[in-house]
Amino acid sequence: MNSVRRDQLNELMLKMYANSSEAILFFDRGGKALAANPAAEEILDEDVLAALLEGEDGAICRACAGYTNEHGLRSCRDCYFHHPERDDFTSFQVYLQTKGKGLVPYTSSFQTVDADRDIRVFMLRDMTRQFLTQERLYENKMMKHVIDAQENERKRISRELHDGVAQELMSAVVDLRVLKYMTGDAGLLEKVRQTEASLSRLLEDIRNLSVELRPAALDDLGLDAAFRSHFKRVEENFGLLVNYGGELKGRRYASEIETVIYRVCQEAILNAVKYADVETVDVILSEQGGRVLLSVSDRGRGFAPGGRPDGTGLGLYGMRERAELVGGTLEVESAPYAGTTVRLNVPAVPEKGEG
Amino acid sequence: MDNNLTYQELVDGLRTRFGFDFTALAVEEDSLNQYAIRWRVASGNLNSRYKRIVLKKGRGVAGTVYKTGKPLLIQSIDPERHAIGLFDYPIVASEQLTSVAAVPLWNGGRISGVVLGGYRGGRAELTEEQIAALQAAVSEGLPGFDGKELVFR
Repeated sequence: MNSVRRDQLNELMLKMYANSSEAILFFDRGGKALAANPAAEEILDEDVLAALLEGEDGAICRACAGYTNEHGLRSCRDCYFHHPERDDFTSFQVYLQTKGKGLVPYTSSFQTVDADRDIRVFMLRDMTRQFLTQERLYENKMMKHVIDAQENERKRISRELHDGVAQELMSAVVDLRVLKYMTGDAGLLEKVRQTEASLSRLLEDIRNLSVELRPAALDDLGLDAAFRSHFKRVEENFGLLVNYGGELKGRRYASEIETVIYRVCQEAILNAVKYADVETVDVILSEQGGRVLLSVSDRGRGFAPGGRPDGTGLGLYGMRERAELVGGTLEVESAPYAGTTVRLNVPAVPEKGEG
Repeated sequence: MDNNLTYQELVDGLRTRFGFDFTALAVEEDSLNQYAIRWRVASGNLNSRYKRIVLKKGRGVAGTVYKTGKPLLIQSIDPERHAIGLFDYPIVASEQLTSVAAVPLWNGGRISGVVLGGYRGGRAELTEEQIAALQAAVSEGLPGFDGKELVFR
């Protein structure tokens, strides 16, 4: 019974040695390679492998670019290979110069499997994919933080302008009006009137600046209100008329959802202003089956998706990025001279807190 | 307004005389104490976006002329290279202009209108001489504008 299982185990171990995607190398006491499995042959340069099997001094260093320890990412200090007395190399990260694929990070272990004859096994698992996944995850997280930080900073400056600077200026205008009752000097009064007019313009400019940074209406009143005033500004600034069909009936969503919808719409309209060469744009906002749908379409010049962009091409990328961050999707449908439609689909996460 | 027909004739005439692709006239509209500037009439326009544009003093081609009281000349705008067109000068973007000049219209010592002329597609570039000629052409005999500049000595 026991011997049968031992046979079976032998067979399994041999199969693992032959077929594993993990590179396996056995070394003797003197650092001479006894065997290398096919996966190891796959990654190691023939010369290096031959030198390892010969037991040439420092052969491993021709492939190894260092391992990660507390001293560095690719360090040679207290080398795992040349300090056989240490027994803590059961899991570490090593960089190898590989055949064809350049410098590749591996998770590896280097441990004694036969204490009597001091035979050690070196096992290597390619970490490239894992690292790429981690990097993507990290990038997404960073992007979300960057967008959050940008929105929060805009919100703060916008509030500061609106509630602080504009309020102070308003009270200065009121103070100035009091002068009317303090003197009858016509020349002076005329000067005061002019000053009041220019202060009023300044006040208007500050309010516009505040709204352009981030409309307070978006936080206080929701998408409908923010959109309506935004479209009014688009009309005055660029002469573009926006036909708005809002079917939300004042429903509110989580702040990040509303922000994504607002920013994507803003960007899509700006694209229409810049490139579509049209006088009107249609915007429809609706909720269906737990998703909020935004569609911005024009009947303008259009473009060939995937072609060389007129601008930087970053706008479309940014819209998609924002959509994906809240678990939404963004579709852009366009063809030369057939108009452009941008469709955003995001989850209808209800507003937090009240409700 | 009543003068629209005269203004239309003026911009049409200027376009033919100077060979411009586009001409327009803006006036100040005093509504609720807010000074806003709008393009009243245009000639050679591609669309009617100009009618909806509302400028504040210091904004846009007309707003800049209003604020400074000086003619404005932008000799060459390359839409591929200059992103300025869109945000600073909406009329330049909506009419796809590549060379623009604008001069003030005076009334009673203050500016109350702006005349703009421009070329498209890099066809030609406006010159200082053309600006002077344009200024001279609009300085007299236009209803609503007496042509009197405010001069400090």
